[in-house]
Amino acid sequence: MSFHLIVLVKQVPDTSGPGFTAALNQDGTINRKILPAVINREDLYALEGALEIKDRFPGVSVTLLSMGPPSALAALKEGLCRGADRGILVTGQALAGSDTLATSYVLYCALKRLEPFDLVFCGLKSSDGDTAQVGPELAERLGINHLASVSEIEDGAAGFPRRLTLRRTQDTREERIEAALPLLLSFNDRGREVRPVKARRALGLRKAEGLPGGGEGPLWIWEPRDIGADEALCGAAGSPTRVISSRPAAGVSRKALMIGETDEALAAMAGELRRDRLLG
Amino acid sequence: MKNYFLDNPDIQFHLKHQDLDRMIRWHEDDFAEFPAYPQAPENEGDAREGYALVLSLVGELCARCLGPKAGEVDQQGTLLKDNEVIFPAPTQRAWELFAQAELLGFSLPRKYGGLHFPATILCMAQEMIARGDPSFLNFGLQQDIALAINKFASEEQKEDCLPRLARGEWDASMILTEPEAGSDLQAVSLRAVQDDRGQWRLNGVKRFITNGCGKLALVLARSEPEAPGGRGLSFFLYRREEGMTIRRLEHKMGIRGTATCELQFNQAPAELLGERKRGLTKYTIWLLNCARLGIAAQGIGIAEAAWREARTYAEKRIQFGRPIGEFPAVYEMLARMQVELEAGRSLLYTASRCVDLSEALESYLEKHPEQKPGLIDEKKKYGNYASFLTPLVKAYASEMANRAASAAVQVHGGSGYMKEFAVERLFRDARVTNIYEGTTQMQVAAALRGLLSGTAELLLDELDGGDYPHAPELPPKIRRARQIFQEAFALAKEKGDDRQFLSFHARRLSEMAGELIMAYLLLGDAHSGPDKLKIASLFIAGLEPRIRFLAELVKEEGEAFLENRLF
Repeated sequence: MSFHLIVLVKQVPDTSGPGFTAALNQDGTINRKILPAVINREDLYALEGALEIKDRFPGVSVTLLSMGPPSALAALKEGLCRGADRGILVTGQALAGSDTLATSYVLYCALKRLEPFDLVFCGLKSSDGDTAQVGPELAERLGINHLASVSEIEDGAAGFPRRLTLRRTQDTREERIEAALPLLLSFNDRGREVRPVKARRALGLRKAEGLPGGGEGPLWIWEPRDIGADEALCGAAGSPTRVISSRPAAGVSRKALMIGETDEALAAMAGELRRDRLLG
Repeated sequence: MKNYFLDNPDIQFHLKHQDLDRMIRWHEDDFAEFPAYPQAPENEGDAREGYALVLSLVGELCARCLGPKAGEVDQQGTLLKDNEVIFPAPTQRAWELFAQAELLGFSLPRKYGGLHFPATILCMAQEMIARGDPSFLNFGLQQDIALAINKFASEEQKEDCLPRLARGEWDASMILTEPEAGSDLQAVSLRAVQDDRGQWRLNGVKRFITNGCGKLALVLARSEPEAPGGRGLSFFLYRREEGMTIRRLEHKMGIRGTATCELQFNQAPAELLGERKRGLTKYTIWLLNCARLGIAAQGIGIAEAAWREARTYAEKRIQFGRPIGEFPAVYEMLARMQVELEAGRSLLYTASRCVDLSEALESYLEKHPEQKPGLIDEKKKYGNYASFLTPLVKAYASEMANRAASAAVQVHGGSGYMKEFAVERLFRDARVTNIYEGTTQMQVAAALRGLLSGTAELLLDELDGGDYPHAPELPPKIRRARQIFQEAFALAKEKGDDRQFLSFHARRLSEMAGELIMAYLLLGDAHSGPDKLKIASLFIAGLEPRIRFLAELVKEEGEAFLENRLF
């Protein structure tokens, strides 16, 4: 038996590194050019979920799918070096300016071409967009179930390929859910640590280039026409969202609470934070 | 994301500017493995790009799983339970991640699952690891032992062991020291005896064994009871299954994330590695030289960590209304740390390059004997340089790491004495580097041989013949200092070692030679631009006074300590 898992990845600017402050524009937007580009953090947790299934069951292949500029091939290559089998970038001028609706449309078209598949994995949200909409929209378009905020696949994915037990964590609660495949799972970053890039694979793939349309290599490039996408529904043309303005909205502290430097006072504060689920 | 390779321009400088191309060509046997192995390079530039790619992975792992956890590892230490060592959880996790990242076969040939990287690149990885957590020794140990097996073991032994080491299925240790055989390994007494069926059995006690719990070990043992000293010793491959008990773990001052074991062998089955009687004279010496280069890299990594901690603290700590780094007394400590660190790094990567050239030429000429007439002299030269520079850099880098860690504590003032600050741990971790794998006193004795054989002079002549148009005022300064050294050295040679004069001054003599070599190396590095020129100028500014001081001690103090013995 062969099984096909698809992981959606997005390349985003690395806002976790030391260069972040320098890259922050006055209006609160980010100067992407001066930050290194990385795979969106939550997408890595999604990839790890898929690779854990691949580790356990023979015949599982993992395809990475991304929509973005040609530079996003680097993110796909990194995903391949962590253990995925194939990476496909959907790119083209017509895709520029896509909102979540246009993005989910293009990914839907690509997924239709990739059928059959058993599971779709993605990050809950991207660090640069922060909408958490693409996953649910895509599940709706595909007509399959969607579970958000998944942190782990439990019980060694024992029910695969029919059912999975998943742990879902949110700020104040944790759930164990059993769900039937096919499924779209969107992962948060509270699961198992992501496996590192494999050195031998990274060296072996150092010269791999994207093959237009597909072919023998592991990196493919598709344009909208390759997936039968209607350009009127792609990019800015297919995006009803309009950003009218944006401004920084950093939190302002209005009240400061002084506590003593005793163990008791610190323990009381820690207890309060734990009760409020801000800690632990 | 933090990355110890990408945030360190000096390591990147050496990867770019060290003259590695000829070495790479020989090391890769004229790129014979391309394209059979997709990860093999097709030319020198491709190899360098591959090195940078993998060093960046190492740098990311170090910043992610070693640096942030080193304090916790130090606090937890290792435990012994039911003859098994329990490592701190972050150390275990780091080992798993290094295995998953396919880094544990860093130095091994590709056919065994390795990356086939030369010693220079290994040293770069080791210094980043030490910057993160100096107690994470098992990565370097794995490489040294795997390389020794690759060089000296039978093909059958290699096929059995090396893929497992590359995958991280087995960890490794080298089992040399005994209670009565520390620096003097000729005194090793652990017995190796063949039983009726010809199976070698080991019996005896070993002590201070780093990762003695390893699944695979190289053991130095006495196979010829009638032969005295080193000639009675052979090397054995021991797969840990039966016949060995971990008697205790040492309670150490530093590097507490590593298990330092006392071992009892009781009829433990083992295999002979290589030839009998060559255990010490050939295999251990070779293995120790690999390890010494690794410890030098560890010293550089600790100094890097200490310098960074001190710099950050000195920028943030405000006293008398100013960051303390602005006060000359503190600035001096930080600036000296940086100059000594960069000098040590230049020496390290020159030493490692000589080791690589010597090893690469050896294997290249084995495969292409027709090339011997043109290359054999080079092979000999780099072999001599490697033998001289390895103990020299081990001594310098480990002593420098201690100075840097001590200065970093000093920059922190009272805070540096407290467990909450990393420099307190670094100070303790650094302290072993000038002791293990041969004390500084053993290293300078080895370096002295390179001085007496003329190797040091040959190297200094070669360096002096370099082209330094970017700083024409500096070579004459180095030459003046060299003249002072040569006078002191001539006097020492004249006195000879009848009354231990040479041995007594070995440290001063090798320090002077090291200073001169580093002065030329920094001068060469200064080709690249004003930053390196500044470092070279600062190092050379104090060169003559430092050499003069040491030379005066040799000349004026002379035999005073030897003639007027206090005890």
